[in-house]
Amino acid sequence: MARHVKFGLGVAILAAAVSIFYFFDIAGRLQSSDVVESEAAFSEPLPPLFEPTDPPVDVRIFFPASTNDVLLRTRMVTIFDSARPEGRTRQIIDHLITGADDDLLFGRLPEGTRLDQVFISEEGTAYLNFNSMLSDNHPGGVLAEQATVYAIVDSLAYNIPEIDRVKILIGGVERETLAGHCMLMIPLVPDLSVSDISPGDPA
Amino acid sequence: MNTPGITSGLRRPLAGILITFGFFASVLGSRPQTSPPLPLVVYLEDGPWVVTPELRNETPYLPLTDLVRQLVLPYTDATAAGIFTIRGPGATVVLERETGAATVDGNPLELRSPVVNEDGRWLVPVEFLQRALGPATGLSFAATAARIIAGNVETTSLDMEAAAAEGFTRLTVRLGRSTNVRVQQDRGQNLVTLNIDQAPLTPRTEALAYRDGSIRSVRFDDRDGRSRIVVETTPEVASVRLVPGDENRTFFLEFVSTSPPPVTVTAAPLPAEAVPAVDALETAGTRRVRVLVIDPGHGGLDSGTNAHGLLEKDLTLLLAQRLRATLEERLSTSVILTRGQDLASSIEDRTAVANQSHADLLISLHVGFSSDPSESRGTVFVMKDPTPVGPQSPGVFFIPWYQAHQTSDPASLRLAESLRERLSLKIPEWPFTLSRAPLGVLAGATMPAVILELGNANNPEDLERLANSQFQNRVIDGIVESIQGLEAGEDGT
Repeated sequence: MARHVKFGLGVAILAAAVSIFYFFDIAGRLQSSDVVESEAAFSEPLPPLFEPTDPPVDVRIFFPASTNDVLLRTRMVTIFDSARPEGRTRQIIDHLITGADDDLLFGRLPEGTRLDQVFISEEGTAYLNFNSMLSDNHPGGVLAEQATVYAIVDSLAYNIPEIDRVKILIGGVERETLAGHCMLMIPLVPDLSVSDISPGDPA
Repeated sequence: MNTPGITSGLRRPLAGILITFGFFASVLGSRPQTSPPLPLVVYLEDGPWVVTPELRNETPYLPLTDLVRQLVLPYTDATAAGIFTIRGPGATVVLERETGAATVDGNPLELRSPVVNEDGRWLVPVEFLQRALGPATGLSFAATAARIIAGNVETTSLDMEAAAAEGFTRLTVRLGRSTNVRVQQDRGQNLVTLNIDQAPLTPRTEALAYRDGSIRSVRFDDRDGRSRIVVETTPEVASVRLVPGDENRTFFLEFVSTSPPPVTVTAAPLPAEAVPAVDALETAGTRRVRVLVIDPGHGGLDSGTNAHGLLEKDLTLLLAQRLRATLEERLSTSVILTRGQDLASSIEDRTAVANQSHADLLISLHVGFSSDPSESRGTVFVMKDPTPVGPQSPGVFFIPWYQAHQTSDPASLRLAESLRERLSLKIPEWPFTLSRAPLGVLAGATMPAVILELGNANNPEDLERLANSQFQNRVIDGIVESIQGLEAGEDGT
């Protein structure tokens, strides 16, 4: 093999080795920066959902119905009666995210939905900031969207006296609609007429 | 040849006359009917340059010396040698008088029309600007029949749309950025000019193919480097209103016609032949749907429901386009789509299209979704107030935008009921229901407005139906018949 060919080959191998090193180095940095960012975003410790001394209490959760006879199907579940309404709000939303046991009748919030922040004003408006999965993973359709929105609004306003209306934010910002239909620009009041109970039913 | 009735003595003079006539006729007839070329405006970084092209073999040519001076390019015109050299920062262009050939950095330039040298004047076709001076200057040049824009010049988009409404015609002008405009009306010439303080503009279309009782023509004109929209009106136009919107990015130019004199029972009857021909429905006073806005749901990145590869946004757009064609053909209704292609549009903008067009109806098309794949149905939605509406205080004239739908709520219900009835007859395999929901696109609509949701995207049979053109025809027929029924007053009003 000629000398200059050997030299060229050596340079090429060296360049390839350096490229591989930098590729893994950059990939590692990107990965670690993701972790740092996500940790930074949620570094503030969330208050506990409830205290060990909080008594259990039954609440009525309005789940999106899986069948077409009604939009929302209700079920009684037990949460802990936290003194802070934000804690009760989180517990109720957790139930809507995980869904009821009987999947044939009860739906849930879209896959990957997470409630990031809750703020309840003195006037009784609950501001809920969800991650984008609530919108991105929504299958669409007016009725399905109406069911998702009012599952949240009805479940909170029905069970938490401090909440009269609910303003839904996605990813920290106001959205016109959840998935192209139901308006989210203003706080929504509960609408029990879309559920399987009449407004006069006791909790 | 023996022509009966013509004596032999007359044949020769007659033939001569005919030949002479035929010669002149053929010469005159063969001359191309070319009109003098219109000025062309070249937008350069330092400002517009207006030039009148010269025609050679029906091709517009530009004077080269003036062109390179405008572009501030160093050049050498070696008249004795018959060579013109341009030394641009990007390339050197050489032209030879004898051959009419041009080279760019030594590479021959193939032009559809050759370079011309007449009495020492160099003339180049418009494409020379793009293909030779482009590399020489390092700039791209976008050329249309009316203007050439250098790549380093910032442009502003222009969109025009005209629609008729009750008593007036509205020209909607949308600009890519905030701009000041002025209106001039020349009543003698029946011309209205909207002067736009922005150049260059890149109009989506140079002229609108629109004509009605108020407007004869609409065209964009910037031949002198100043942008304007020129509207030729009919003498019936009494006044013109300019309404700015969207932070001076959108302007509504409204041409208000003089109202026809009211006909009363005491008026002397007109002779039958003097009665102008008008639409029979208008005569009966029952025609109400003049402008209909169809909103194809979703669009752009928002695909809507997506099942088995069929995107809701594509289906709603297809249906809307077919529905528009049918409505325009069968009802002579002006139909406006909130989006004509696969573009994202905010909910507020969709409603604004209907409000600003003074639409008589708004129908938003969607495809449904149910987690139950066996479900199959259609739903007509009307607006439901998302918050309780308190009593209006006396003297309060403003209502929140999301309560604008309330004024037409009873009419929306009638429209929804009519659609439900007609579609139930046309598509018996789907139960059609009427429902209420707090829907963004309906909230701020000031006219009867509904969302029509078709089928279940989670049901393979429904998807097959919705993709079938025969089935689409049934949906379209149902909607058209419903509107016809409303026009005829079948809803009981």
